[in-house]
Amino acid sequence: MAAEGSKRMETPSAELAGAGASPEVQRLRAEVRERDEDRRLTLDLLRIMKPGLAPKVLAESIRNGCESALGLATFYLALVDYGRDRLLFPLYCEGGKARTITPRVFSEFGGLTTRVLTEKAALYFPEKRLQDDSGAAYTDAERITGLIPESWYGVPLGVGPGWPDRPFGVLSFQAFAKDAFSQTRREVMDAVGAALALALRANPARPLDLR
Amino acid sequence: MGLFGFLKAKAPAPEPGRAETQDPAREQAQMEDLRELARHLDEDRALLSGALRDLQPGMAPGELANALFSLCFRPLGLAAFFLALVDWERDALHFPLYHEGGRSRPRPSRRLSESPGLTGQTLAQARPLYLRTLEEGRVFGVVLSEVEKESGLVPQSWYGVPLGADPAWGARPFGVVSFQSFQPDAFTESRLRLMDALGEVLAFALKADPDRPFAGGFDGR
Repeated sequence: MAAEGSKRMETPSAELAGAGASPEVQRLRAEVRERDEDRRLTLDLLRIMKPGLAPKVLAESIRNGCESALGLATFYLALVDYGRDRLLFPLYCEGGKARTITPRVFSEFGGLTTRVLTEKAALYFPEKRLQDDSGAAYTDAERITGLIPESWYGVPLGVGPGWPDRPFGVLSFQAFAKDAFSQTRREVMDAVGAALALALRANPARPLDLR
Repeated sequence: MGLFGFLKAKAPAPEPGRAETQDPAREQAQMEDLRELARHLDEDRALLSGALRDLQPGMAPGELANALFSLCFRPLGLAAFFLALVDWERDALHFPLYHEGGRSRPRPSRRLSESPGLTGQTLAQARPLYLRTLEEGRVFGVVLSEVEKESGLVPQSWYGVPLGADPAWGARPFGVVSFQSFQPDAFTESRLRLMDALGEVLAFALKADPDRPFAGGFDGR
């Protein structure tokens, strides 16, 4: 099964780049290429989900699987401990490496992550200006270097009728390019967030109603 | 054959040393192929997104299976679909959902060791089993349902995906989800991979426990 993912884009780029094709054919080819990559990416990321893995391990696997395909500048997993009023970051990758982010007091923190958690919905900011308007809280590295991703997408974890009222975390994907994530790309990220939520809470020993 | 292999097979390559022809008929055919491919990919994406949206923690196994069946019945052209769960201690195979002949029907539980059928084979080998024709199914010990025996309408293509086959779930799979079609060899390689993924989503939804602590604690490192 790994072969399908490992060949990502090789065949399409060779076959579908075709010089001399009409603009309409080229447009359709580009559209199909992106959809095919989205499909492969979703299947690859679903395949790496396993029960019993620590949040950081799962998040690292996701990052390794999608960083290049999605052109990510920053990627993180945030978890909320509502009981202790803490926002924790098991994985925070920016500038090409994982950084340690000190847990924050959740009720005092007003960044984009908090907005995703309170709105219980995925949020997309295609430009930095829109992030600023929405109360983005920048990291030290971002403040020092001035290298701040333009595109920011956050997916809440644990949303839907089967989950408790409040999401338990956020998965955030960021890119330096403006409006880097198309609607279909965001659907891939939604799917990955939903699968991650299930994997983080999977209990192999959970008894099943066999009727 | 992958999706792009399909496209390549359908479209003749331009002659060596020549740019792609501008022949309108060829270009029209190319565009139709590309649109068909895009439609197929959109369908797959919708199925995966739909499964991850609709299969929620806390739903009973039969409800989860029915939600998955509702999503994929039409796009996959299914004739039959079932979820089987195994009770290894009692040597019993249970069917929370068995859909055939246009509706869900109760299917009695059975002893796995006495009548393993294709489901038992899938569980034993702990990997997906694809049988392209009924003849292949007979070789593997297919167990026909009462409806199939009475009507003679037996699906040709049978695909079974074990649930919880990865060792991270435990020593043995805990169930099988089966997708079936009246057409022989109905499922392409890309559709088989899609059904594998749908099986994984179903496995996670069946075993999801929203109150379960994270492995390694809240810091999750």
